[in-house]
Amino acid sequence: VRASVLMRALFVTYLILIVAGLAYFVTIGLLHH
Amino acid sequence: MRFVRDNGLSIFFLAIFLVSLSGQAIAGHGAFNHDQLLHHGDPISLGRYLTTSEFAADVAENWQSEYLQFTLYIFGTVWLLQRGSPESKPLDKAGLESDEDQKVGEHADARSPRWARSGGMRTALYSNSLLIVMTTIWLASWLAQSIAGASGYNANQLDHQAATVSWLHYLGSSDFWDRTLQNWQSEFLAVGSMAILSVYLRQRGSPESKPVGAPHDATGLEG
Repeated sequence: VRASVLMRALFVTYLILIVAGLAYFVTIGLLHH
Repeated sequence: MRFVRDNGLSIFFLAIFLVSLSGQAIAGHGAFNHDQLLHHGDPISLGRYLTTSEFAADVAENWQSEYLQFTLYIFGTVWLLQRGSPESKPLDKAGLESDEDQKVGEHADARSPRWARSGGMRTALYSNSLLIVMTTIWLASWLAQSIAGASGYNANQLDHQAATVSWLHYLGSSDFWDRTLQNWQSEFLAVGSMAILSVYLRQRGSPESKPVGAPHDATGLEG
């Protein structure tokens, strides 16, 4: 059970990283606009 | 550590992604300050460089092309085949395949994900969830590239006492399409060459390759 929780955590980490990165790039672009 | 062994691919690529991004930030900062000095501007700190639209556009333009590559690959390999390639499905399997092949609805088994079993909208959505998410990330990163790219382009225009442009105008600019297509072309070449090179070449032990002794025309076999 612990292994599958950690695997899901890895999945969520990737998604959060991507969404946070995209939000960061858009924010920077808009702030400099 | 069994967790590390079982998730080696995701962990390894996450780690080298973070190292590469840090390297890009440091090298990009150096290049940015070099350009500042050439234009008689003041150098900026690394922290400030990370908030520039130049850095954001540089990262986003590479993200979008990678996600486009995988989006096209996921979608293309449903319908397009390559005789002899382990990247292709067997030649008689083009298309979405039957519910039985895909283990959906009444053909789902006890270990199938719940949304594969439920039928209706949920199964339809789940059946395309990988493509939906990859397409969304591609379009969002392309949008991020365009917004950050427009602001970097305008900063450069102002530096040279030239007129700034709107975001929509920037979408038609050669700068935007140069940044976009220079990334796309390399992805498409890499994918196309992988499809055909893997017909005749092998890597023992890799699932991206056929078994070393498999014949050249064996399609859809993984090593």
